[in-house]
Amino acid sequence: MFGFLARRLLAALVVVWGALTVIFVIVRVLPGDPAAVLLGTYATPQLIAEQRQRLGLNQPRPLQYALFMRQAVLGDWGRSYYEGSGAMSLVLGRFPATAELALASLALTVGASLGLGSLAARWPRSGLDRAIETVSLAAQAAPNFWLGLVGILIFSRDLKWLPSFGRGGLWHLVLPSVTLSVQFIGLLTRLVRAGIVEMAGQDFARTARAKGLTEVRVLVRHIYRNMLIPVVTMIGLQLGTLVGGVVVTETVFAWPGLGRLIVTAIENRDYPLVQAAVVFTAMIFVLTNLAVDVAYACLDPRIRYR
Amino acid sequence: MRLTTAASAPSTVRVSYLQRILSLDPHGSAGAERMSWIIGRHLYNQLVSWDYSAKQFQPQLALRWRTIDPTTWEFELRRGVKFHDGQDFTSAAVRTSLERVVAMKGPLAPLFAPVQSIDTPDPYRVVIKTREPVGTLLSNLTILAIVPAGTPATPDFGDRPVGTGPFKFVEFVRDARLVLDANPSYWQQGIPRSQRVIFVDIPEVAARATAVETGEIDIAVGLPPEQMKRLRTTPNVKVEVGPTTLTRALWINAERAPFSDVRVRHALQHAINVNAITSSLVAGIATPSTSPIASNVVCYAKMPPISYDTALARKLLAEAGFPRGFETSIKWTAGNPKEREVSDAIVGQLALVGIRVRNMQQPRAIWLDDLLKLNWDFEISTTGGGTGDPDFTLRRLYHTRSKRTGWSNQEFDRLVDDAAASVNLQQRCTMYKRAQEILWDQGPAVFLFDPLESYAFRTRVQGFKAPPSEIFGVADVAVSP
Repeated sequence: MFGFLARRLLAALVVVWGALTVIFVIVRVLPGDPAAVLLGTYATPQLIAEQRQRLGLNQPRPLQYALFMRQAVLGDWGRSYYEGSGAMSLVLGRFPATAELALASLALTVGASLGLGSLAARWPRSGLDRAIETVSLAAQAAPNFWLGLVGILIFSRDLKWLPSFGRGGLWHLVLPSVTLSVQFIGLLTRLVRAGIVEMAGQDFARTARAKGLTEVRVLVRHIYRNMLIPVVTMIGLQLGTLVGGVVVTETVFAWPGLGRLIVTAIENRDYPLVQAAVVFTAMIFVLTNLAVDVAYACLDPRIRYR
Repeated sequence: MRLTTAASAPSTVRVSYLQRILSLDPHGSAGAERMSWIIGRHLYNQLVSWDYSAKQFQPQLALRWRTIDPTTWEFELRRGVKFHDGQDFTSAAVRTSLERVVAMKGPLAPLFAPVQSIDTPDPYRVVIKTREPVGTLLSNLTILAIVPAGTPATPDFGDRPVGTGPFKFVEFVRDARLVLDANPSYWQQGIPRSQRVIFVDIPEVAARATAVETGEIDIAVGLPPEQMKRLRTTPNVKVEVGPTTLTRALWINAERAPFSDVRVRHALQHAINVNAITSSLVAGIATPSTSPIASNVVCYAKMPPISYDTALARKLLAEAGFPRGFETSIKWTAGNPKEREVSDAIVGQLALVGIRVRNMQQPRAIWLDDLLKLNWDFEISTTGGGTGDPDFTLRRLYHTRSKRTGWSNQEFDRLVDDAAASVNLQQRCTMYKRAQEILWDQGPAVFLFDPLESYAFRTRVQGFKAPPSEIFGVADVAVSP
């Protein structure tokens, strides 16, 4: 197992380095000059030239790359052009907010999907099952930002139950995490339901029932473990998106997360910030993938890594 | 479970603005952003400020000033002022600030580049010598924040800013909030009236309106007409509208055919129904333009209105050789309210005279690239008067050497250059009047409207009035519980 882990971590480093190199090139090939964006409509050719000099943008690209990699290896990811602070510290500073939202959303998704999916699968083709299936479809189809805005209007403005923006205490987390989770709950519920229905008819389940276990115990002790693999896969994918890709929710709720940071950095051609953010999210993606693979081994004893 | 609407400690003012805070460094690359000037009002002081109603300069950190000769200015400074870190304010701080703004090479640097030397004969006197006569020095000084003596020209000053202003820096959580506490030893009596100011970042405009409705914030600035309408009927919320120094215009690339022909530009002026655009798209948050500069900018002169006359427009186009019109494009970027609607309206109106315009919204970086390289036919431009002085826009944008619109007019160049050098306000206004006439008639633009700023605030906010320009402050505002 350890050899496996070591090889995977090494591969992770290579993947992250690859992503970094690709982003380094792409962001510099994009039209748009960081110095001009920095100065905005007050830019003059002279001011732009001076800024480009100050930012080191006039050097040949291979040299910029070499300098950047050397500094990166030492842990110095440069200063954001736009914000002035250290690029990686900006990214890390935003990570707690993103992590909070991601974990809350994940917990909600898993809890609700397992609950609803199990209920639906317990009495297949019943009224309850059909109702849950309809709700799941609707949930999958509902656009994120619309849900968020409607949530704010109803729960903040009209009922005054919840805050309408920003990150703060637990109540601030409710609307954004629910908004984020709805689509995933829709998807995952149906997956869980299908998985349970398939497992419930299998021999091992019948044996468990024959032993006298209640249906709930059959479900929890035997069926879950067998159908969790596709569920864990989905969760792994969701986690990846949650870390860098929830710009819309962050904008609607004024949540100071990584998504907004990255999008703003790209719009501003803020090279160091884009690079630091991509490295960070690539690392998260890769580690998540690794965690999912390890989870497979835990869930299914037949899977062994060498 | 119930959300408390008195969401803040007593006497905290929570404000939400439409731009995000980029940097707290007043001299850096964000130094010319509206948000920087607004924050600057709270954290820092300047030497002088411009009084829009009295139309004269008022003392801030400078008590008295005079011109010894056209290139020499002497300022007597206010005593007993301290920076937030306890340092005394002296002439050395003025010198540092003037040198730093140029050394940081940001957008404010060109305003102070003509400064040749800064002498500090004693701790409360500064003598500034300029290379050539600079009549706009005082108005440029209204946006120069004074920082402590010896502050280096590096961007980390913005991490822990120190000024002499009514509020001092507490914390800045990027894209969330900026927290400022009252400066207990501020030099002006009774200011600030509140204990704390929090600038809250809410990027989504509907969420900003909602936050003022629920009472989570006290003041929301820059809401569009639909939200304002709703808020006017909301209990406990008041809405006010105030003037700005901004002007929105359709810019025309005068170095490209067919726009280099003044008849084509005249045709465009008559083909655009400015009143219709203003009254249907931006009603309540703009007034039709009556000059290339907004009416609260000094030396503003009202220009004769240009008639909306499509027949005349077609006739002029035919004379210029385009009886069947031509194809062109308009470029713009998101950031101002109703930009898309305005661009669509212009496209529709120009189609009526045979000009087929392709509407090209661009992301900011690409838009800037094209704008600065003059790679455009039409642009929607919003320009601000910033200092309240016409030089800030007229000479910066329309002088031949600015190369921002491809337009060149010798008489205009001479007028704005001379007006910038003169210190006689009456003389300057005479010159600017003529300059406005030239720009209004033959310039590379159709001036559309002067945007107004909207302010929605809770009734528990006391002492807030719509300010005379888009740079507002809340130092004289208090919030009752």
